[in-house]
Order: sequence, then structure tokens, then C-alpha cells
Amino acid sequence: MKKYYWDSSAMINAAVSDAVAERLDADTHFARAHNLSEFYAIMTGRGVEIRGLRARAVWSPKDARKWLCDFASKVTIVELSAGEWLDGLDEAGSKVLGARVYDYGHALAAVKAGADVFLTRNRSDFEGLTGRAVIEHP
Amino acid sequence: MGWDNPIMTLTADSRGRIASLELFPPGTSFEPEVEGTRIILKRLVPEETKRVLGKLVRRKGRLMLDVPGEITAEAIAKAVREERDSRA
Repeated sequence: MKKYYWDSSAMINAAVSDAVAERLDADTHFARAHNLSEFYAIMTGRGVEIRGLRARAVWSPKDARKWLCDFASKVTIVELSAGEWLDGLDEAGSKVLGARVYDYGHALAAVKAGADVFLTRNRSDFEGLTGRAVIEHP
Repeated sequence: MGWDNPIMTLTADSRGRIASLELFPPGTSFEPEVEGTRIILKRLVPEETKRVLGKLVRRKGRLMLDVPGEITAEAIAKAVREERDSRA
């Protein structure tokens, strides 16, 4: 059974695509609690562009919360302790600078979970950070 | 010369260009109205993107976001990148 780590872009993808949502029915899945916040911030805030409409899709807070409850029931939430975080920074050295540290937090969580696959739509953000986890589009 | 100073002369260069960083920030667009020797430049404000409230629906037993139109993978990547950049 494969282990998958979901970043927020993969989660949004699962909210709009049946094929991506299906992936949650099998295998083992992980995410950080931070991803739930990020998903909520995007889906109740700036939203996601709808092709050709000059409009962005958003959700009501109630619907976003409902979807997140469902998602959280299908994944194991993995978090980093301060020590794990600091050790990770030590290991990364100059590979992680500035705002990339936020992406690195996801990568460290995926490594901690022992993920085989890191699911994201922002592939280049995580290149070289995810250890043995292969980066894939969801 | 500050924008508070009402006396301001702008002279076009040899290629007909007038420059003022204060009045014409890079990337802004203007619509000219010419009335004899008087030229009025109206700054164009970009059209605001509408927000469409999606519906939470159950499809094949799963909770899904239903919106009129397609949400592409590129749009998802962009939305997440914008959100992360806004916090950086």
C-alpha cells in the first residue's frame, strides 16, 4: 500500500476532480493541519480562477469546513515538533532560504510520514526537498 | 516636482514620449480624451474579477465543489502560489 502526502493544491484538485478524489479511496494518505488552513484561506478568500469566465470560484465557510472534515477523515495528520523542524533546517543548509521555508515544512512532514509520493500541482516548489518521496501531480 | 504642486510641465521627448513616475506608474493604462489643445488622460482601473459561490455537492458518494465552468490544474497551482506569496 502506497503512502501519499497531499499539499493544498492537491487537496483543491481533489475537491474539483472526481478522478483525483478517487485516489483517497485506497492507499494511505497524509497532510499537515496547516494544509487545512491553506485550503480554507484560498477557498473562502481569493478563490480559484474559472477558465474563460473572468471569475473565481469560492466556497462558503460552512461548505469549506464540511469538505475539510470529510478530507480529514481520510488522511492522517502529521505534524513536526520544534526539534524536527530545527534539525530539518540544519540539514537543508543553504538549500532553503526565505519563503521557501514554508514549502520545506510540507516536504519535511512528507518525509516524516514516510510518504512514497508527494502530491502537488506546484511541483517545482518542492523539487529536491522531499527525500525519497517522488513528486507527482495528483 | 511633487504631485501636490499644481504647476507641472511635462515635455515630450524626440519620440513623443512623456514620462512621470509619479503620474504614470509603470503598467498603468490611460484613455486619452483630446479637446482642442486640452488632453485629459483617464486612468483605467482593471476590471475586478467576480467571485462565484460554488456548491458543495455529493458525486459518486464524494463531496465535491460544483462550479459553472472548468477549474484547471494551472489555476489551482496559481491560487496556491498566490496564497503562499501573500504570506512571504
